[in-house]
Amino acid sequence: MKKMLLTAGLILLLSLSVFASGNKDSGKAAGAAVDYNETGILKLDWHSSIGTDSLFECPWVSEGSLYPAMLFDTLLQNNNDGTVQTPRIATEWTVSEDGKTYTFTITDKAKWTDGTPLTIDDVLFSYNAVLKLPKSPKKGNFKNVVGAQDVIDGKADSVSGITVDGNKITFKLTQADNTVLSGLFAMMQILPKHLLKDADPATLASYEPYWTKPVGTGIFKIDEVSFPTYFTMVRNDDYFGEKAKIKHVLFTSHQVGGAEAIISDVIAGNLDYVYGNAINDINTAVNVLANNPDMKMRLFPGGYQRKFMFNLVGSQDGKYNDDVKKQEVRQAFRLIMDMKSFASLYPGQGIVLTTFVPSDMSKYNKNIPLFKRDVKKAISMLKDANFDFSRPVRILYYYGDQTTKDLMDILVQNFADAGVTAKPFLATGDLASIIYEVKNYDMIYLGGGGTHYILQYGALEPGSAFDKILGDVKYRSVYTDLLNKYKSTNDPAEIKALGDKIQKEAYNYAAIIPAYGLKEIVLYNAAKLKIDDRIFNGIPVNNYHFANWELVGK
Amino acid sequence: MNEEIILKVENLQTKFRVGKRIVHAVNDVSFELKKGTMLGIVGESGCGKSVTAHSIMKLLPKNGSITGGKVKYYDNNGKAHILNEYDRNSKELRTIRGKEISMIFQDPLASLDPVYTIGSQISENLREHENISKKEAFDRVVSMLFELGFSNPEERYYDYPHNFSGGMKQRVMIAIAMICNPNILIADEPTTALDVTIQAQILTLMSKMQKTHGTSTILITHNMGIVAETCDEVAVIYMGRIVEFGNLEQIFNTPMHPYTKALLKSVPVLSSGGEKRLEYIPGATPDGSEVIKGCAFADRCKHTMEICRTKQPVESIVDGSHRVLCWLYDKGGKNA
Amino acid sequence: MFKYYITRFAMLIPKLMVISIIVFIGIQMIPGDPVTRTISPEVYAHLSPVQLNELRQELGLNDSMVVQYLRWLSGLLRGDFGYSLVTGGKISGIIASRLPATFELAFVSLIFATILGLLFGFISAIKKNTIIDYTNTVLGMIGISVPPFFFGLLAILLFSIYLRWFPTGGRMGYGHVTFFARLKYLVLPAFILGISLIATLMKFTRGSMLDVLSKEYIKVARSKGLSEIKVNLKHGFRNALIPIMVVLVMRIPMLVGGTVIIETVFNYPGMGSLMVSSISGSDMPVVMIGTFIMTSSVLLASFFVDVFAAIIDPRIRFGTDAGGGNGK
Repeated sequence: MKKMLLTAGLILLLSLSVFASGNKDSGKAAGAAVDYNETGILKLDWHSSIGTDSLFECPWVSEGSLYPAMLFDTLLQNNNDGTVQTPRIATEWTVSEDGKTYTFTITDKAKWTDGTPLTIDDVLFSYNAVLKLPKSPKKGNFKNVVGAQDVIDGKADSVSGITVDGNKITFKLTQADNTVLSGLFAMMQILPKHLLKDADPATLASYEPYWTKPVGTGIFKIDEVSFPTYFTMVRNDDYFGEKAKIKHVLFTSHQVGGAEAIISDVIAGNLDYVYGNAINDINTAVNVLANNPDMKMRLFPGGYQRKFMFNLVGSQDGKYNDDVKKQEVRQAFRLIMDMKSFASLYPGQGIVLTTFVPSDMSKYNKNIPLFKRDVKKAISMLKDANFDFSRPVRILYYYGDQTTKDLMDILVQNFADAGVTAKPFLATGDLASIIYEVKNYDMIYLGGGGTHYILQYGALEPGSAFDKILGDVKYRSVYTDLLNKYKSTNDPAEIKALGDKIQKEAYNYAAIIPAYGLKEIVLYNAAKLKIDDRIFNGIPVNNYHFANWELVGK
Repeated sequence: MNEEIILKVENLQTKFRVGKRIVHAVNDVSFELKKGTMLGIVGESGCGKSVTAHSIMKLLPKNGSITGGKVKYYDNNGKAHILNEYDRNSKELRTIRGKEISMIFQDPLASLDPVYTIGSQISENLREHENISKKEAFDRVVSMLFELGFSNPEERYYDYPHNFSGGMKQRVMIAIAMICNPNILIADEPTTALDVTIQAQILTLMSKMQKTHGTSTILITHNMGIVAETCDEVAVIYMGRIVEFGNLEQIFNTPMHPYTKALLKSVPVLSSGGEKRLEYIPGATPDGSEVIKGCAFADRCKHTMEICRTKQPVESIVDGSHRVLCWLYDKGGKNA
Repeated sequence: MFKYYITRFAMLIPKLMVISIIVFIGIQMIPGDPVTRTISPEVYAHLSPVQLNELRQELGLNDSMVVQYLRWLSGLLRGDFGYSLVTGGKISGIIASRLPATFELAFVSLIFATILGLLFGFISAIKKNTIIDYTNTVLGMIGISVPPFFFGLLAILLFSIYLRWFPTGGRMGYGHVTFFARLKYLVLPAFILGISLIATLMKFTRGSMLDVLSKEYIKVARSKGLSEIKVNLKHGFRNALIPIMVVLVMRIPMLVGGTVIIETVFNYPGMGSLMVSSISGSDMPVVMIGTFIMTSSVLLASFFVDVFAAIIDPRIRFGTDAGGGNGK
């Protein structure tokens, strides 16, 4: 009997020791660290498009949580509204008369957190390496950089338009572009060459030796990493800029539990600053506030919009309703759908849109009549266009939340008012292939946006994945021309005129119909955390002003 | 023979609750066990003989309870314990169980715990009651096993029940019962589940043990032959009542109660020999839950009288210790 | 005794082989170019068709299925599981971060559920037909019939949000890296995961105990003058455990399966939630490897329970049946 008990005990001990040994390494790290509760710790959500299992997310591919903004630096720093840039890694910069040459001088004070100084080589390396990453959306900013496309195409190893001289780096553009400062130079993180030079350029974003614990130059550095649950950051006391007041940051992953887990953690007081899809529905946010009075809600126009886009190409299943190829039909649909009701589903958060530019903005084209539903007119337009009322219109949507379902109910009723059958359906699974390849829909309800409202018309430019839905590349090059002109001028009157023209053109074309804009929501623990209010003057992601964040309570 | 009484059962009544019914298993049982003797309790299956045995040790299942009468046990110091007044699992009762009164059960195959070695099961009893070391216990168990005819007791000590045959298991059971050298051994049909050849071995062994250790024994059986072989006194039980009680000669030579007579005829008595056809008792044992006004045997009896069906018979003393419960003997005890 | 363990262990090998073959076939059936599953997708995007073909040759994708299977299997044994289609990371790395979590959750839950299930069943059997027994039975019915995610949400609401006794989810907080510090994160998910097992075990323990308590050897034990606790525990419970072990083995797969839901509810980064995200992200290589590992763990867990069953039942240990043959 004793022998048996001994055996049983041994098995138990062995199994326990497996747990113990599994955590030895992280255990050591914890022993050396400070007790965070004593000094206060900023608690944030850690989410990432590649998960939180084994690697950090490369900010050149996607920027999921606040960590890239804390760890990495850019040449310039955007102001929150994106209009003015201030130095960051670049101490100063010059633009040539013709607006085609930008030259930056690099600071000699910046240091990587492993002690190596940041050099001009790191900057040059970063601006070349990002182009070799198959999945990087940052490549879009390089459109007008001389020689960038050759690197993307694999024809050249380095961008001919980017040159280095001492601590100066020069960018040559094919045409003047007033958007590069806020995009190419203020949104492009510099990564360390000395740690990434051995990585295969195509897989740099998942290069294990670096991405298991990335090194940056930023205001915070990564301290302890515990995949897949959390990691901590600690103030970078060697930071070349203004140092942070907060000493410790804890990022906890909610990758597994998703929105529900985030919401319950916010309510339980385990997250100090949250934004993004989990809480970006005013109804959810209000509910959270009701359960945790410490939290404060801030709304800001983040440029996020929901819109309807027509499938102008056709579907794989042959049930495509080709009437939507008629411009008049699309315009009529715009009159049928009740955008005001849609926006009112998000009380205080939704803004009715007529063009991509909100109507209270100076850039809005005042000649376009504000949205007004008119079913009668729509019916007559449809009749004039010989619209076949017996054929249903299939509408794809991919948001599974209740508000979207309510919206679809309204939509069906709207169309029924005009005698048109609308058939919305929720798509799940491999969305990319459903949306871009299978295309068994006539109209798609989608979201997206950007802070620069006119530049959102870039969606109509040929050369993106939307080509597979919108077709007619030849006609759409008009948007490329207009946008290029828009970007290359610095004359306010011309900018306004071109902006109006683009809006008018797209309004008539009606391939994409804006439905409503959604203000973005940030919830933060006002009882504990003091954040710099400037971040809400525009959009926070442009400049978080982390140095001014303070922990005031527990 | 020492006439000192060690166990006295007076008007014992035991009832079972089965659903909503009350089954009267033991109605009115009285007998005495004399020190150093073997008492046989005989009866058909379901007559209440096992319940009587279990009632003595209060080992009844939870739905059974003693509702009347007394079970008096006189220990070595002559102190009387009224066992039925002790709580079912009280300390007092537990010090008597196993140590002073022990029991052997019907089915040796099911009586041993399959997960412990037989040695540990035997010594468990010993160590529960006697404050001795493991080694001493081992030695006692081994010598007991040897006494019971195990040729290699040291090895068998560590065997599990599934390594033993039925007869050997019953020997182990005897070892468990006898290891504390009890004053009373209650053997509840100890041989029923065994082969006929093994039965004789076990009975011989039991008699030997009873003689050498001087244990007073109650042997419960349905087999008159076994009674004839081993017992000093006999109680014949029918429907929870002792219908006849006497010593071996009295019961076998001058059986009085019609039931005893029928029983003797229905069982192959080893000593009777001859080619006599076995008789059977007509009818079946009545249901214990029915309240019978008169004699319970009336329906199956050849000598039923009017009074038998209306009135419960009273006990008649025939000859010294020989008593019978039958209207036939109400006056003077003459056979009709 | 050790021979028994070795045979039991040896029996695992053919079972694992069968599972590995099924998984291999499953991987072969994933639509798309198999090259994408052996090299990281970003390298794939970078290669020309000629290079791809060379690579295919080099990776042996033109070899026969048997050769490919054996190569895949040897990779599997060396811990080379290929690449995730979604993250581009090594599957071995992902598994390494998730497997201990699920192992821990399932193990703690198993221990938790076993102890509570046996305890409640034991009490129910001893207090048969009393109010305690009836309460246990009703609670058991609820435990079996209500889906665990519902309990999970209720538990989060009550214990994490209102009472704030336990964290709302996750596997560990900062500085809670040791097993015992992490226990508070485990309490709710492990308990919720175990509820149906507790209920099942309770039901079986009660039945098994009642069965054993009606056995003759229990009466024998009482006739020895043993106390009720000794009778019930030493002779009753010990014997009742044997059939319960079988139930336990059969429920382990359900326990591991239950982690899929519980981990998601509790934001617990284990294999279960990995399976959920991989399935919804169509990350088939991860799904397949995950399935393989989870099935193997279930097999391994059953092996350990078998070992334990042998410890408590000498009849299994010595390879004889309970009938009681003629000894040696």
